[in-house]
Amino acid sequence: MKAGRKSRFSMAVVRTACSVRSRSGSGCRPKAKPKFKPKPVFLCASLLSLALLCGCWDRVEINDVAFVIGSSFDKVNDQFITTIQIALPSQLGGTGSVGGGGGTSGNQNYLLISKQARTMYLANREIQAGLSRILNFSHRRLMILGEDFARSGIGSQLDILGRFPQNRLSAYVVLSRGKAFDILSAEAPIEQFPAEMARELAKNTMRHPVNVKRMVNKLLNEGVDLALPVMSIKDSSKDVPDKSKSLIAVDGLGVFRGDKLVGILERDEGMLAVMGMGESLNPKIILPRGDKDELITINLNETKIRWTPSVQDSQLAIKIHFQAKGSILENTTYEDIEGENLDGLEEQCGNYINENLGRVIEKLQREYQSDIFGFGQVIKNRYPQEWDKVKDRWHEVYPSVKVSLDSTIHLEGTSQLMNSLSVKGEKSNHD
Amino acid sequence: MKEKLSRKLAQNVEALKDIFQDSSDLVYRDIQFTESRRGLIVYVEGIINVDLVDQNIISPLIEGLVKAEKPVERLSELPFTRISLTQTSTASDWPGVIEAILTAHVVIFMDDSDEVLTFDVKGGSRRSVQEPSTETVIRGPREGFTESLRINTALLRFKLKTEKLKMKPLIVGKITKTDVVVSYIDGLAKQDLVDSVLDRLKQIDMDGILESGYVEEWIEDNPYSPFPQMQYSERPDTIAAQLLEGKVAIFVDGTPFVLVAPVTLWQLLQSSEDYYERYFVTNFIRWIRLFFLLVALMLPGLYIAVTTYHQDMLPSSLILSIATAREAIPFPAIIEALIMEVSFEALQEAGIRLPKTIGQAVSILGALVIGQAAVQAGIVSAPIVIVVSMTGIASFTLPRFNLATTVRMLRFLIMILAALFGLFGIVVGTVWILVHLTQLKSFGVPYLLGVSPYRLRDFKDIFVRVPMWKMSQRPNSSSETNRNRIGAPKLRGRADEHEGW
Repeated sequence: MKAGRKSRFSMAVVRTACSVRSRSGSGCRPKAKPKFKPKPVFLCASLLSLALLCGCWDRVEINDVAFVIGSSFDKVNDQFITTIQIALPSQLGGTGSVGGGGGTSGNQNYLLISKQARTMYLANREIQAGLSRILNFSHRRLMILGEDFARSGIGSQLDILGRFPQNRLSAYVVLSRGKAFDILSAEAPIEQFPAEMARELAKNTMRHPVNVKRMVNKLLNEGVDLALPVMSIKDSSKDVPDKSKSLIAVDGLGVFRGDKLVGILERDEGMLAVMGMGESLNPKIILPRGDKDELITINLNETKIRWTPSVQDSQLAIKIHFQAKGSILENTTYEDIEGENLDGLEEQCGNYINENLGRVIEKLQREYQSDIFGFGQVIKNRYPQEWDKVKDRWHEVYPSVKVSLDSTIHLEGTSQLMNSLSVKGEKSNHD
Repeated sequence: MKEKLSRKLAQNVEALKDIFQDSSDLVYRDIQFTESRRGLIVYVEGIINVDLVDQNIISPLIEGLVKAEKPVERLSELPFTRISLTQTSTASDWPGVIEAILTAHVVIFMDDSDEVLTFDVKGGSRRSVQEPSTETVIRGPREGFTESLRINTALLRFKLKTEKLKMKPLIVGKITKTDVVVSYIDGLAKQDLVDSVLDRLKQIDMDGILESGYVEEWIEDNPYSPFPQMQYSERPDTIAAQLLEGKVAIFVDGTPFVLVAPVTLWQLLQSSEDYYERYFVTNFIRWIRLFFLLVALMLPGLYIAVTTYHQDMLPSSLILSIATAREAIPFPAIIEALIMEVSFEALQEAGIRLPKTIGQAVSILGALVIGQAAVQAGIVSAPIVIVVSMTGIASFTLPRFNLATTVRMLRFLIMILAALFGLFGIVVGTVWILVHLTQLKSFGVPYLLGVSPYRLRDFKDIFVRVPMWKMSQRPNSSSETNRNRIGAPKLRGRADEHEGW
């Protein structure tokens, strides 16, 4: 019955198909001979058994995964200390989990594990050996390098970051003053994990925060040196009613020569250096005014920086043009800055930047010999022949490069409020 | 049994009573035409309109006899002198008589005649025209087909007032003798499509055809494909629109569902309202529908693949919330998903089959037990409940129930492949389905016509619907000789359009 029906209808199908085809122009070919057709049940069974044979070999249930959310690397003598921070889902307080409301119950919602070994990977292996769940690094978005580790050179340990696919190249890299694992164990009540808090802070350090990819690029490119934001733990002072014990803060910029950390620029210097790199996000300039150390704070919300190299008798020089638009953020002075004084303020701001950024550059040239602005690259792009002469001894030539600064600051957006509110003026009587 | 009728009434009556032994719904009514000439009226009670018989057959006969008007000598005189019914015909053999009686005709026997007169007096109680319950629209006609074939064809006639609308009758089913009508617009439908449909219908050799589903299964091209190869609709406007696109409709007596062939996948993703609402709205809705088609097919599979193979692919905070929710769940993700999907399917089935009064209890149980309690008891995680609900909603956005059911089934295939091979499995499954779809044909028309094979013209009504005045030609599946749908398009709102102000 079935077979008869099938053949009958296959005829009909062929006929329709052919007539459609012949209408569209091409000829009607006779249908190929019926081949051996396995029964569907047999087909399904064999397919299923095939599928089961290879048996989901990569399958890892999410309950068997330990998500690393941040890690730190320190060096003690010849050994590396790797510390990882693992999220504890049972303590995160979702519905249906055993812990329930772990965030506020006082239990820690993360686990810190440290192991010491000769390389970063070996330390990870040590950690895995004592862990019932499989470490998953694909959600590690922050790496903290300890000061000692960075000073001893980071280059040899970076291999695993590029080789192992789980390591994401977009993970941010920061330095820490002292031991890096301290940052991971700091208190971070505002975020879920300390690593998350540090990551958010790292994200706001630069316009293009340093991640693994950018770090490796800077290390591999010639004519530029690496600079990483520095984090440290701020103990709250006794004078202010601050309940938290310790909080993470970004307070400097670590500068490298080659793959070795050579020094740390402190807070304001670091900010200026970042500004010089053209990477700053809304830098604040604090200008002293008058005799009584009154202050005006200026927020530069639009900055543009241009480096122009020049060569004269094999003397390399760089001219830095810095242009910025800004607005007054706070004005605690009693002076009248409307009118001509505003021009003076712009000029003072420009001078301040010229002076201070110049000092930072000088420090980088003389003291650290670290080319974090990438002067080498600028010269290489403009004068490749000159660069070929100096590239092998760039770090020796670099301090002798003449750097001049030219800043143009334009203040705008002050709207109605120019003078401090404490200044009486004719114009303030609008009503 | 003798095939031919006898000239003797008594013999005929005896034979008739022998044929319809033990049939209590048969009514025999003796009548008299003249003083000497007797006769018999036979019909099946319930399926005919008794009033018509009373008023138009029996009372004129009796009145004629009483008033002694011109006596009736021959049977063939009756329609002219006595009986005022329209659809009349004669039968002279027993099979014809039996068929007439069973298809709601009144049969009149007369002494001394080897012929009988039959009058079509279809009647009996049938559902009247109501709003179709399976295809509701916000904007559009509210009338739907009924179980009665004649009403259905009439509903179509109301919409298509052309002599080109053909309705070819067939009788299918050896016992049920179901009336089937193949309807198409001459000149718009390809002739070989019509021939093919008629040909396939004629080859159906079965005892009973009770619903258009029987017909569908007999005549579709690929009986082993999970995808529906014919569309069914309860709405006259849908059928009329399809006929205007050169399709063929198959009416089956006894069911409000009318079949349309051939069909493409895109057609199954369209609702009649797509053309009643402005095209901006329609395009938006159509994209939603296409998106949710993918959701209905893929989402549980994606969830399984991502949580068991590709934990790297989700944002960190999302994967941590999923991990938190799944922390205490005893089952692997695939088992969890299967539990929820199967119970959802069961819930849906229970909701359809149960009497409406119990239906509420089902939904409460479903919402409480499957939704909340299972999560709180730590048997399934909250994300899978969201995933299953999303899939459920997604499958309800598909306007054709038969396609939605197919998608629901294929979802399980994708889920299992995802559990075995992760995203790779999903890709394999999707390719598998796509390959099948590109090979599939419905009455010689490729299932993905427009996209594969690519036809630019059909694109106007696949992923988008261009405004009515832009769809100047009929789709590619219609007849090539008569393509233009629109005459000279005249647009409103042009600069020179100021007449009438």
